[in-house]
Amino acid sequence: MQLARGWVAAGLKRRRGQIRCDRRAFCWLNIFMAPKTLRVVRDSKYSGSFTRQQIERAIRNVERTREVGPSVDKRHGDHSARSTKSASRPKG
Amino acid sequence: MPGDYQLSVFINCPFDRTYRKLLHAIVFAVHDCGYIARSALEITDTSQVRLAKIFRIISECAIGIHDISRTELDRRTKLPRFNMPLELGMFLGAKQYGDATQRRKLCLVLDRTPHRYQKFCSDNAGQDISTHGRNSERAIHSVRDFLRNAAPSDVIIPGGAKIYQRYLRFSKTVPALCRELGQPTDKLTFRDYTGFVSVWLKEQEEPKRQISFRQGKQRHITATNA
Repeated sequence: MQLARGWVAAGLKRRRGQIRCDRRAFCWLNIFMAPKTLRVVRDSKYSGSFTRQQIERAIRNVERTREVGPSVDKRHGDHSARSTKSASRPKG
Repeated sequence: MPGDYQLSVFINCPFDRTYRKLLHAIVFAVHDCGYIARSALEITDTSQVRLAKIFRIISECAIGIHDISRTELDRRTKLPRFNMPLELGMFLGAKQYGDATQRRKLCLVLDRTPHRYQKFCSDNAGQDISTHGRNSERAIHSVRDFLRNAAPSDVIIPGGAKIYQRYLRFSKTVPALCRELGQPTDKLTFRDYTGFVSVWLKEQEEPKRQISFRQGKQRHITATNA
């Protein structure tokens, strides 16, 4: 009963121009608009000198060394900084 | 799902060293937009005549990207290089006189500056030409925008800026990748490069989802333990 009253009230409001947008429009949009999908990355037409597995492995190795690499470099950098500091520190 | 013909992009551009950066950027953009890059470089069969190879590849591609920016006088011979305009003509001929599928071909013409082509290829004057000014970022943006219009409306294609960022990351990875596989970077073939691009792009997409899922799971586990 309450729902029916609500519909009647909304209808009257819409007639008077108090409600401009139709709530049901969203439902219609969902029904008629096709869902969008992200593009799919395709394989290359021909395989090159390397297999897919070889390339995947190489990419993972490169990423792993990149993750490990900077921390090692930093440590080296810190050591060198310390050593130069100690070397330049005036004695006595 | 569209077949290989609909997704194949014929890339007609110079293959020399000075142009290689732009070629790599264009190939990367093509693959990142969900298409397959094709070129006369992919076939190394010497028994086939070069022109026959190009005709065959053109007939297998619905889309063409033609860069005529290097149509200029050769320093030694003082004659212009006309391979790219010739291949553009072949593509336009296939579109004009081919069957129903060939007539639906689409093409993008790239040049250095907006009206330069009108001086050596004035018959093209009616066409809209994109310019890249020998800049990889601009080339990627033009290729992306063109492929966006060529793609079905329900497919989301990443923006030009995002593709360019990804391209920069990929091009930093390529030398290390070549070292890992024992291949000199300057001797990377077109087939190798397209293989690297497609596998790298797929790798970039897959682990992200796995990591986020695992992280979520780990958090959940630690939360329950605590």
